[in-house]
Amino acid sequence: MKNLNINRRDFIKYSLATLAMGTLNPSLLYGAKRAVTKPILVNIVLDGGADFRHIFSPLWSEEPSSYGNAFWRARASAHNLEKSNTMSLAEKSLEYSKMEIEGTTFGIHPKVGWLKSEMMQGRVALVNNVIGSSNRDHSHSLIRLESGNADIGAHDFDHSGWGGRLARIAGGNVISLSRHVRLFCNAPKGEDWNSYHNDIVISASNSRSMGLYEYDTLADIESGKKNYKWNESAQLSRALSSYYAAKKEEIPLNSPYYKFIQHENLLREFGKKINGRLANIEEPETLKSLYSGDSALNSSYFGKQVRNLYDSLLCQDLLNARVLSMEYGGWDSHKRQKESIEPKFEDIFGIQKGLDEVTKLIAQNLPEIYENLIFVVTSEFGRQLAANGDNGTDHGRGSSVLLIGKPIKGGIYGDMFPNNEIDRFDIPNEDIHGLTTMEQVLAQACNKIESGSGAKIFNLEGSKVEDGVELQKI
Amino acid sequence: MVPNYDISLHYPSTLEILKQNIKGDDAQKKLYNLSKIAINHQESLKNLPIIIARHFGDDNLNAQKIAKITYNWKKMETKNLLQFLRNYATSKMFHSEDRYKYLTSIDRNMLLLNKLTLNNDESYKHIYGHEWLLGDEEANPFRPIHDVFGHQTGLEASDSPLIFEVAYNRATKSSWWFSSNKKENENGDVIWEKDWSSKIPANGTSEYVVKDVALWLWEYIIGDGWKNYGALERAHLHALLSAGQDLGLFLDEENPTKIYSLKELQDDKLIVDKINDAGVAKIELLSIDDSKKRDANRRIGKAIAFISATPYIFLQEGK
Repeated sequence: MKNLNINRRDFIKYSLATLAMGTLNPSLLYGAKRAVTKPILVNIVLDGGADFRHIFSPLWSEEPSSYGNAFWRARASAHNLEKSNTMSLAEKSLEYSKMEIEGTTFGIHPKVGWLKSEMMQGRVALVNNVIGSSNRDHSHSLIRLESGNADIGAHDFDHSGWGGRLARIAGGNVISLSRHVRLFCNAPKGEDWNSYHNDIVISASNSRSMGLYEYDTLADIESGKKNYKWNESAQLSRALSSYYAAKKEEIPLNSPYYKFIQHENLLREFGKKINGRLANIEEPETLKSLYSGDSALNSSYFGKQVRNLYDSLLCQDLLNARVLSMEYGGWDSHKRQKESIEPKFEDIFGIQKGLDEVTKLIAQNLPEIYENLIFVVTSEFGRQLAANGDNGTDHGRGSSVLLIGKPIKGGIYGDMFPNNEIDRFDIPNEDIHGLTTMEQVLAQACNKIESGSGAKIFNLEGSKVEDGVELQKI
Repeated sequence: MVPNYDISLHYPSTLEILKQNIKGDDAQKKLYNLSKIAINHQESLKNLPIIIARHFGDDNLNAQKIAKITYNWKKMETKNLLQFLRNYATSKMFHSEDRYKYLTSIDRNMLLLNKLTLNNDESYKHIYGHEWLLGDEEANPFRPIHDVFGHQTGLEASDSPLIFEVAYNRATKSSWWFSSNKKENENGDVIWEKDWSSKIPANGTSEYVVKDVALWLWEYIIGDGWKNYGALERAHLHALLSAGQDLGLFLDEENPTKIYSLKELQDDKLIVDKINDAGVAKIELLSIDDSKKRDANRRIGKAIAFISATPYIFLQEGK
């Protein structure tokens, strides 16, 4: 990785300069510095098996043999309704906003207003009947999803991720915005997908306070102070900084200890830069309110990741991000699905919620990035066709994937409500038939970021695409 | 203890699970009966021993090791977890150099906490407040990060820059956690003082010599038989223990930020002599002068802080 260290004097000069230039318009502040913006992918993994059918539903129909009728009856309890109470099912269906895209009519949940607006503007590709793992095992299915390797074993946690491979090919970095680095981010060790080497993975799990403590010894010396001699934190700061600088020359790349050398190196380098950049830029109130105060999201953790996303993009000229990674957990809605997942969907896709607020800011202050930004929203598997006896839904297989952004050609890719399901709603354990392999969809997303990269990142041999679906149009 | 719970809504009749009829009047009895079948299910035979071995012992499993572990589990007629663990813990596979296990946040912090706490009095007086340790690393014991599917694994911890950052900053910015040497009550009376002499063995002449203490501390915390205790580690620990200073300041007061390479520490005679001299210095852990004794204890704390942020604290190697 190119070393872009700045020394203390440069840092002070730079900070003063940015302060003088103003703190209110980051685009003015950094636009000139930024190279031509390349496409950037933001991956959001919904751990637990999200039920996208909860937000995309057919319209209710009185006709007993219709899809709408069978669907709402089978899923009534997931909305805390009785399947025999057709009036309540009809009313529930009417709460959904009616949409029509390319001849498909459906309802979209009222709590995902931003998503609806994006769909209306043609910026959302909803890919249906997507199949990743078929074993209904969370752990194994997540490894499959994040590695993008259909043949991966249940214990292959030390595999590269498709995000890491994409960034490697695109010549950029992966920015991890979640607490811990997900498998998705793992960058391959050379050509070897089965291992990883995260020299291009930067963690911004708290963009407003990142990096390693470093006592400013030189400032003390210049100002004639002696604190650096007796201050214990100063002593240990110098000791460890010096130790790691020497140690990195000694530990080989294939050592299991090397990753700590790497952490130290990346945190020191990028922590300093990001702290310097953001020191004089106030957090936008609209983002701060996503994780603190009365209007915070149900998951303040997701709110913080949204803030981390915006901050990272403000530092794009420093970070060279081509892939960013976010997460939202808790989608395993076996019980009380309505109470469990509606607030989560709203956190992500609601009006004045996570993605709404951050994309507004990006469009306003970082327009070049906004034009090139793609969100990919996936989950390890879908849910079964019918609700269970606990007002929830159980593990299924087929699911949907969302690709969102200006570079996306919006539309419905894959039959949203396959007729073959009508007769299967009443059969226990039935789920959405997977007709399009997950890696085919992800490969298209990768192609949008780096032309032709999809086929290099995924082994598409033996994979399939639903009849009539042209993913390349996305 | 058998938990007492309401079984009135439990399904009393037979259930078909794993293509078998599972009997039992309530859920507990059914689970008990199911477990006898599930333990021999092919998925369980294939995966359970690997999950156990990975969780407890090895983040470097390869196909050969996996085959061996699975074979040993399969051939056990009556599955017995403790016996399996005993066999594994005494096997050559476990005691081989190519085995390593990354520590979780809980493993690492518990290790440090236990090593720093020397007696019950320190526990009682809550000298090493620990409530915040795991929270800083997003690893609260009863809030597993994968919900019902488990908590942070060692591999995840090792891949987390956040955890490294917290450990590093605790050893530097918050080094007081390691080096605090006395506690006073609201009246200013000293109610506790650190006494490392109660733990660290003195030499034959009842003295604490830097090089011996450095070696002892490394083994006490890292426990690798000094495999990774090299000239770099030695130089830094000698400086901290002999002078209470970092190596840069200790070697050249005019240039405290200079970085010393391994080569310099091994080949530069002036430096080598100074490090060696530091190694034979005494640490005044038994001084009758309170301030010298406190300073000596503080140096031990600094040395532990340093060790706690080296790469070797995050990993346990087979040997």
